[in-house]
Amino acid sequence: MMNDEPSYYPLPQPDQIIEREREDAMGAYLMMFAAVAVALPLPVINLIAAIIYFYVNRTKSRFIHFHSLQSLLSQIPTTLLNWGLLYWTLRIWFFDSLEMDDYYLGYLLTTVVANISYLVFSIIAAVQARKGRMYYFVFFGKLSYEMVFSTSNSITYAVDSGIVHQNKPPQ
Amino acid sequence: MTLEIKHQESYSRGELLLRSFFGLFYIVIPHLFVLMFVGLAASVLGFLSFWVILFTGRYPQSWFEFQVKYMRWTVRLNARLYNLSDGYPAFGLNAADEYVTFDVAYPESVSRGSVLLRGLFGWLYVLIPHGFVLYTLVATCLYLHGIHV
Repeated sequence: MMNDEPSYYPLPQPDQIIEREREDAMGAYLMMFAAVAVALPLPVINLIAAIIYFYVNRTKSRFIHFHSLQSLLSQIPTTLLNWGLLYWTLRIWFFDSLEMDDYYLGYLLTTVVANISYLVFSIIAAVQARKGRMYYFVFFGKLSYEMVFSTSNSITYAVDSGIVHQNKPPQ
Repeated sequence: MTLEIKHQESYSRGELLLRSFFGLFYIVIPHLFVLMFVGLAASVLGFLSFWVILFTGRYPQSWFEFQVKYMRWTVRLNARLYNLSDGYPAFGLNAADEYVTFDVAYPESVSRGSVLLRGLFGWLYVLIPHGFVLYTLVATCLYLHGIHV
């Protein structure tokens, strides 16, 4: 009888994760402030920043890959909610003479709570990542762990090939 | 910080003319188009690094290196635009240049007080005085025309 249970790579422990890796993992959660950085209240900017950060940093180490993937995936529902709110608000502003019904107020409240929750948990995750710890979001944590630490993940990481950082002479 | 632009024994007159008349099209526009996106990333990281330093006292090393590489690219470009070096400025954050050297040593810890001071009042005690002096210097150089500093 074949064993179909997936196998996983061992988790790196905090003392095995160098400072640079921890900072890069922390940075993934800070991409949610990208829209503030460019002073444009568009929900998609945070997502674009998270996507770019993910693709630039994912091959550095499994630890960084996990955190940047978790940050990216967890940002998607919030972004969708924000886009919906933006669209609905603009419609009310320009076409419905500022008439806000109960459905809109309910959706607004839901989006505000979702954003605050996302902000709080992302900051917690950023702090934990900087300490070299794994921190799992509801649903997205397990999904990210499966995608990154499963032995079916064939990415070769710089840290595994011994190229975490190369000292080079000044250019 | 190390900034070195090698003074060449001789400069190409052909390249000088080419840069003067067509530099906008074959140097400035391509580089600025790409630098616009890189600069956007640099400004996002710069904004975020302010808060990271404020809370942790450290500048994330990979972000620091990105900023230095970005500045190196702009120095490389400016060296050509100001006719300080010949040749076409290389694209890319990891490109090397035979005439231009720019490097900033990574600080292991950054003073949170100075970061806060710069963030809140930097425009007053850094930007305005330096901007005024730089403007005067550029205006003088343009006026005297042909002085190689």
